[in-house]
Amino acid sequence: MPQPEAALFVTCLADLMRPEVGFAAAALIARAGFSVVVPPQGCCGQPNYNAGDKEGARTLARAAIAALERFETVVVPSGSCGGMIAKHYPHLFDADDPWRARAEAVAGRTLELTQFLARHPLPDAPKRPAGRIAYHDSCSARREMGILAEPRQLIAAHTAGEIVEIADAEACCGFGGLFCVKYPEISARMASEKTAAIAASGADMLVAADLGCLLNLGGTLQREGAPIAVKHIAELLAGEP
Amino acid sequence: MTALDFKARAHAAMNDARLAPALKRMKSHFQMGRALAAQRFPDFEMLRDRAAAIRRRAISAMPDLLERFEANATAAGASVHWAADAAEACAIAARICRDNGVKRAIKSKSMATEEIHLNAHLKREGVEPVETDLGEYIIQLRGERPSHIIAPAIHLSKEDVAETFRAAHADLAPDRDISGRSELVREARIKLREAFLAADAGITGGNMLIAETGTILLVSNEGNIDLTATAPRVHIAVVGIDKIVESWDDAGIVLRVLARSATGQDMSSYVTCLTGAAAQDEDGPKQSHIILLDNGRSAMRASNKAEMLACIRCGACLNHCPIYAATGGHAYGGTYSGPMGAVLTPLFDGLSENADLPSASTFCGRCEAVCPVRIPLPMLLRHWREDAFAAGIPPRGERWGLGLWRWAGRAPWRYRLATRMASWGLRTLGWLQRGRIRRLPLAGGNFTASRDLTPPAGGTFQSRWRGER
Amino acid sequence: MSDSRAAILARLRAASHPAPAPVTPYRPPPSQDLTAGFMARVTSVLGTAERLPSQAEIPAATARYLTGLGLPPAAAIAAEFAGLDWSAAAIAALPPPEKASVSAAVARAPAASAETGTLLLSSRDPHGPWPDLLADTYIAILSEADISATFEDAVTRRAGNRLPRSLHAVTGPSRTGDIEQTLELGAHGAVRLHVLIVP
Repeated sequence: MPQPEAALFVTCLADLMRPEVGFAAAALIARAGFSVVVPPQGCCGQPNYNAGDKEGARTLARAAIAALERFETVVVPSGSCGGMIAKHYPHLFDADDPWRARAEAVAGRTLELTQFLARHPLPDAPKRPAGRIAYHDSCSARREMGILAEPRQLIAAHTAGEIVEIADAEACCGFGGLFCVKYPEISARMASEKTAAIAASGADMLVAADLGCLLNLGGTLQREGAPIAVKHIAELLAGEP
Repeated sequence: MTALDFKARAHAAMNDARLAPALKRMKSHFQMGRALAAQRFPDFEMLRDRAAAIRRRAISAMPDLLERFEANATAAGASVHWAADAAEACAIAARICRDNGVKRAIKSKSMATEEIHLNAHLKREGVEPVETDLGEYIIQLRGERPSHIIAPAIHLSKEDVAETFRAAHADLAPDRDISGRSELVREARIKLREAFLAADAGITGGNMLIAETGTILLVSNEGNIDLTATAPRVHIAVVGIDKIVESWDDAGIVLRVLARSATGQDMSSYVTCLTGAAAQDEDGPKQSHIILLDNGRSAMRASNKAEMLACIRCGACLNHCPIYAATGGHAYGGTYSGPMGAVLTPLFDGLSENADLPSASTFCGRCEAVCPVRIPLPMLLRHWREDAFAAGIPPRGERWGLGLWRWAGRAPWRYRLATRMASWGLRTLGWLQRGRIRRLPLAGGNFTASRDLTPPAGGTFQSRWRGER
Repeated sequence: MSDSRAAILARLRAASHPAPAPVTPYRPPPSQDLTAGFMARVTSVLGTAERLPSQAEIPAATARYLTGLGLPPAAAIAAEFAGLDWSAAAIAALPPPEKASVSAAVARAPAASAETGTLLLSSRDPHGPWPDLLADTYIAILSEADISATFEDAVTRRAGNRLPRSLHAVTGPSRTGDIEQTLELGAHGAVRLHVLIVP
């Protein structure tokens, strides 16, 4: 039987800033028994959507829908971009716009990476040591996509790491896309409160499933000189490349 | 209204050494209170669903319910007035005071009267309104505006309050100890008790208007609303038309989510229900006036922000908002702060002056997650951003950047070219700054103001993926 | 003024919104013992309550409560209870509570709700809401039969054919957290609330 196909929508941040997250995600999707396809792709349109440029968001969404709609499964290694496609795309188009049905179809087939791996489990493999892991939920994964147990179960199942919870875990890290550039002072305050909570958790590694949070928190930890490693959950689960 | 913009006010607030610990205390106190109260209740999510439906039914039937309220309140002896805007509401209140020879008025905390700046208007008319909610009283003595919807003086320490009372209470003996919180509360109780018993009129807001009986329902913890609405000979209530609910059963459900969401109480300490005017043999004011305030609400109901009218002003969205927790309430520059303020202030005070408010959100969604009536606050903020973008309000650099991003994203080759150039640029910067970028150019400098950025370790994912295959 | 009325209603009628289905009223889980429920709830909101075997015990219970807290043995006594033997309990019985400050007041709370430990006073009571609003200590006399399951039930029973001008649902002593978010009792209403439950 041929392997089912899954499209990897890699996200701009992984594409540009952390290609290794894209490769790790591709490796995990393959390990789960899927043939990975990376269709030519751009941005999901969230920056425009969040800035009030709905028409711009529609333009970018149409391009993404056209690139993704032939796949039965679309995997996104980000709750934020995943939520944009799975939750917001249908709202971009009026009910009588033919793009509405196409947006709904793609939305219904789009899964965030840990959601995908919870449905299509990885084969068992020896658990690698991973130390004390603080897992940070992105707001979009937690509240928009309702993802809470999946990443923790994956970490417990595939690593020998111990998960420590971060105090006030529901609080936002302060990234917020353009927010961190438009309101740097508030963003920095939110980030430093989060890094303080991470440090207080006793973790030696911070793991999350969204690169926005990770670039924000990792960069803040680095500036603070905190000895805490930072990894995307795809990298953690896939192992060192 | 305020000379500084949001960013400047936020900057000032974030550098106020006393504010940060107060906000931190507020956050943990209110968040834990709500969480425990929700947990104690058998099925709080079901209660929220019902409260959400009740409020939306009220929005739907608003004109009919308001007419029913008016008919029933009038039949019970109240006078109902309709005010299209702040000026009209103030004028009606002032006229009632004039007609009844009111010189001294006491007030219970009311966001509607804050919204229309009633106190300033009454003062100009020769009426001295005294706030009686302890926090609001302190704020009034200091000439400030409330910084939190249910805890107006959250930004002050007990030393600040003692200093305020010393300056304002002329008869306070210099050797009397008011260094402790309970002494301060006692001092305010004594002072305000005199005011209650001497006042000609009491002015309140209203938490709900119950259509089926023409009743105004109010909640407080101090008991000051009960005294304000019953001790003087005239009562004036200023209530937004959005506060309408159909029945007592509806009000009961809203009450149950309100106190739990606001302070974590199962029930507010005082719930005051006022129906009409007092009969001859009954305690209380023989004259009762209800001013139904529109002030933009009917326009909001016709807009894509109509769901904001479901708000019951509990403050849970503030208490769970990371922006509010960082800046406090004064940064918002309006009557309302936090997520609710970010939706309401552009409506009351104009979008172009307040476009920062809906913009200053990460859309983290925690406000919506705790809103007792499930208002989609992030979506409403998004609608304001769309209005602002359509009106050309965001800075030119932001609009150009978004336009460029849209243009690049329309064709995959342009997007790939742009990301490859950016990747090359970042790697070069990384090389120049020895492995980690401490300073990005242009707006990116705001990111690196407080963070490092590790540059990418090679070309873009898409170019490498295709290169490797 | 009437212009604004017409204009506001016209603006409201110009926009229509779908209405969700009607909502069923809330009913708490049925309780076997409303009195016990009431007492537990009133204690949780920093009030106190005790059951008395008969109305005749009210003066002695009042004396125990006041002297136990080191408060002066004097109280404004509602007309209804003025005939009880207060001198035997060494309580100075002051005239009934009215619209004036007093250190302690003994008066009936004619209705209550067990769900939240709430007393319901009204402008139609013999002494209005003053026993709670203007006394430092309110000793509320509550007949067991007057305890309803919910606030709504208590209001319905109290209202009869016509709602009083004011209903005052009181849950525990008056309180404020306005100074440094720290709870202080007795902001404006009763500093102390003690409920004597009689058969």
